[in-house]
Amino acid sequence: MEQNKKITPIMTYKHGLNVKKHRKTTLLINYYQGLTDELEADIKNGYQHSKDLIEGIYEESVKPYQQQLQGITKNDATRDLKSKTYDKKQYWARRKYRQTLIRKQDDQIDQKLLEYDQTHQLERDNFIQKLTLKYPHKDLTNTEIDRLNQKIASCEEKKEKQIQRVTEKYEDRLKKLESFKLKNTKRIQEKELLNERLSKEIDHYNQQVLIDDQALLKTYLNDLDVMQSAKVLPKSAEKIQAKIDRIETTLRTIENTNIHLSIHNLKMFFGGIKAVNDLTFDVKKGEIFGLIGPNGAGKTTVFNCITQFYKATSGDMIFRNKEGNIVDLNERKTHDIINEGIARSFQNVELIWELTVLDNLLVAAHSLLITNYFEHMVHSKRMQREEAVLRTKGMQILMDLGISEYAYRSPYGLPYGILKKIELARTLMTNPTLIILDEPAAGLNDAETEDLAKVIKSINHKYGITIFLVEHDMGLVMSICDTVCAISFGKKIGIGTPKEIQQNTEVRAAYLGDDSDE
Amino acid sequence: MKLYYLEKIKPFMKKPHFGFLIVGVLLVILRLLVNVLPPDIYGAIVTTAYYYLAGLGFALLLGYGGLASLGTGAFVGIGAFTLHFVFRYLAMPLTLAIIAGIILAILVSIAFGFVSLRISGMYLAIVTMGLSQIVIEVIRNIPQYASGTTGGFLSGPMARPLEFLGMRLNSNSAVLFTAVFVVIGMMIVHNLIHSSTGRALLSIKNSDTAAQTMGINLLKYRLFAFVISGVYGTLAGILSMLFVRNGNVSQIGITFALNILAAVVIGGTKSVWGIMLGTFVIFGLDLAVFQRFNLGNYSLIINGALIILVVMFYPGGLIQLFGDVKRFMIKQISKVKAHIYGTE
Repeated sequence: MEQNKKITPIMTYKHGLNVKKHRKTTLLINYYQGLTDELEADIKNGYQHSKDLIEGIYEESVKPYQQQLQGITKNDATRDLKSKTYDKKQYWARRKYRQTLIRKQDDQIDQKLLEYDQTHQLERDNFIQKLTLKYPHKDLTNTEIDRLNQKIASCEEKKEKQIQRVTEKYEDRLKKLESFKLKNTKRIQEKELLNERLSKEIDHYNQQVLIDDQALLKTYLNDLDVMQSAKVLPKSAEKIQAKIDRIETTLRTIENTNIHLSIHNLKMFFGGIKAVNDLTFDVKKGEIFGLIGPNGAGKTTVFNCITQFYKATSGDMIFRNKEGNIVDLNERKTHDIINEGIARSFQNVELIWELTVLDNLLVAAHSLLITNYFEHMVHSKRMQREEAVLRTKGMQILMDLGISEYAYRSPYGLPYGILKKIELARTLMTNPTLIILDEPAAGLNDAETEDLAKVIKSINHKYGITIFLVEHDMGLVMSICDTVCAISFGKKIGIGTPKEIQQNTEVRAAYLGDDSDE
Repeated sequence: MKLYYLEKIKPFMKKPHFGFLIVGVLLVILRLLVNVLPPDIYGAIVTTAYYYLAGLGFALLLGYGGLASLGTGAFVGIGAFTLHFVFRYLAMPLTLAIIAGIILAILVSIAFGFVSLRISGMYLAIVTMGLSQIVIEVIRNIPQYASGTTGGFLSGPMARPLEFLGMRLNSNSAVLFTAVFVVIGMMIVHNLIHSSTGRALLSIKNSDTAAQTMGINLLKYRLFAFVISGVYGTLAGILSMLFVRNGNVSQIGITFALNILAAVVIGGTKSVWGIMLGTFVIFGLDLAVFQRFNLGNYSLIINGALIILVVMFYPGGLIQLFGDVKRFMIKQISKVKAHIYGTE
């Protein structure tokens, strides 16, 4: 019956490795592409820096000689220095004298100060006279001028030599850069080839899975028919039904390329409490999808199921990931979800107070790292560069959201509206395709909410990211969402455009209470 | 020459790594001054230096990972007794003995990490305490190989003097090992806490759930923190064995782990320099200061009072004291100046 061989666990494992490798290679290619430009800039800047340093040293060493040539001989310089130190001393002595007068609460402070000034002016004149006698001005003789000129010339020679050496080094490095560029392009090509191969393998695997699924679907349907006719236990029939559902949902998602996240019959029971029960909806690509419901309706539970904090009791969550492949989120671990392209924010802001805002964004970029512990231990060049790149990226995002002025301070004590925006920036750091926002407007005032709505809209528009949010603030939901899904006690009671939801009687009942109660 | 200074040396001097290097140089100078310095001060400083390594590793675990482990003593024991065993009974060279200690430490710390995978807080402390007790009992109950209570390298049936590269190491020369390891250890910890790894550990400490959504693998980082702290503890044990020449199982029990915890908390969990200060307060102050003034009997009491004072007034660690003192001095100087000279 089945012509193709089945998917073995080994193949699945290999597929997982391939996907990981593919992502890492993509990051590496990006890294290498930036490398040449940066190296070039680095070389040029380094050259300029050394040249500036040499120039500075030259200026410094030549300055005394030039001063002498200009007529300020050594004697003049010493005299100047001595008189200056004398003046400084006198200044502090005068201040001390004045302070003592003030402390004694003398009545004739001004007069006494005037006397003091006069006596000290005389002293100063005497001192200067002595100085001029001791260090008289002497014009330079011709031999001395020659010697000075020689010294300046030698300095200049030294400078020329140093600059020449630096220039040679610079040219050498430029030459090396050329060969490096060649090597780098080669490396990039290699990686691209590898990536092509990997993506082919991934595609192949996905097709294989599809074929298998279709075959399985047929057998399952047959089985179900047999079971129903034989009237076996309903539990095993349910299991088969769940498997059929999963495959059908997957197939539907593959067919309809517009669907970003498809949730089918999601159930989450905590003991006897049915937090989410048979929830089904699709999030379309590039839309803003709102999930609303009264308190305790199970909205956050849905989020936690999607991000795999809770393993759903049953139900399917099929997601179209970053690369456009279809994945079953139930098979992923919590920390892998972000690699598929889903980033989430939290209801109560989960920032690290010990770090600056920018560092908080860097934490979020953890899934984009290409370096490992050992590079972190020695602070390798690669790691430093990566950090610089991520910092620029974080700064760019902060600027886009209009909060760049807070980049270098701790988030501690910032207004709540800003914190919410930082959370938003953090989700953006990871190049997601779907952002899950858990009550973004909770605790914000009207102006802040309006601002946030604008930001969310602009993110959706600018980055083309699908946004899926839970919200209590009806104004926000109705103004920005393209589709709204209303749930109550874990059950869907309505889905549609905001207008449709507003006119939905069931939703009204859920929010305002049953008609029968009135 | 000047160009070289401006281009290479000056930027390096501004880095924190320069400070770490200075610590190493000071330790080497200490080795040269061994005949001049009083032996108790010398001993206090060297003891501080090698227990400082254990403190550094523990700070990564506690201050960044938020994992309050009480297993440091076990690793110090592993270091000391593996060195003893491998060098003396297996007659391997010293380098190999050190490497063997580190490898054993990595294995044991991975075991620690796995056992305490889903535990945190107080329960983690209890579990690691139990684990370290197991390690210590293992050391204690194989007296032929492991226990150092019977003596060092020169006494006993299979005496073998410590040699390194054909040279005989005396106890003071081992300080050079301490210098090298302390410098490398400080640099690595500094680098780690100023990199993505340090930030990832902090985010785990802050919130498990948030860390996971950001793609941080809890298991990986927990194990990493355990391994680093284990290796550091082991190095401390190895260095103590090289300096003291004999270990004692009774020194590495729960008291030692609590002492390290106190050292890190007193010094400041997030500062490389603060931990050094804290370690000195716990391990060096007694030898270097109290016994000089014949206060040895009261040293535990004074230390306890000191710990209480520090925790009450400097919850961020003793390292804050320096900043406060500096600020205080600047303020006082400006006040005195204003008193004498007045304001303009």
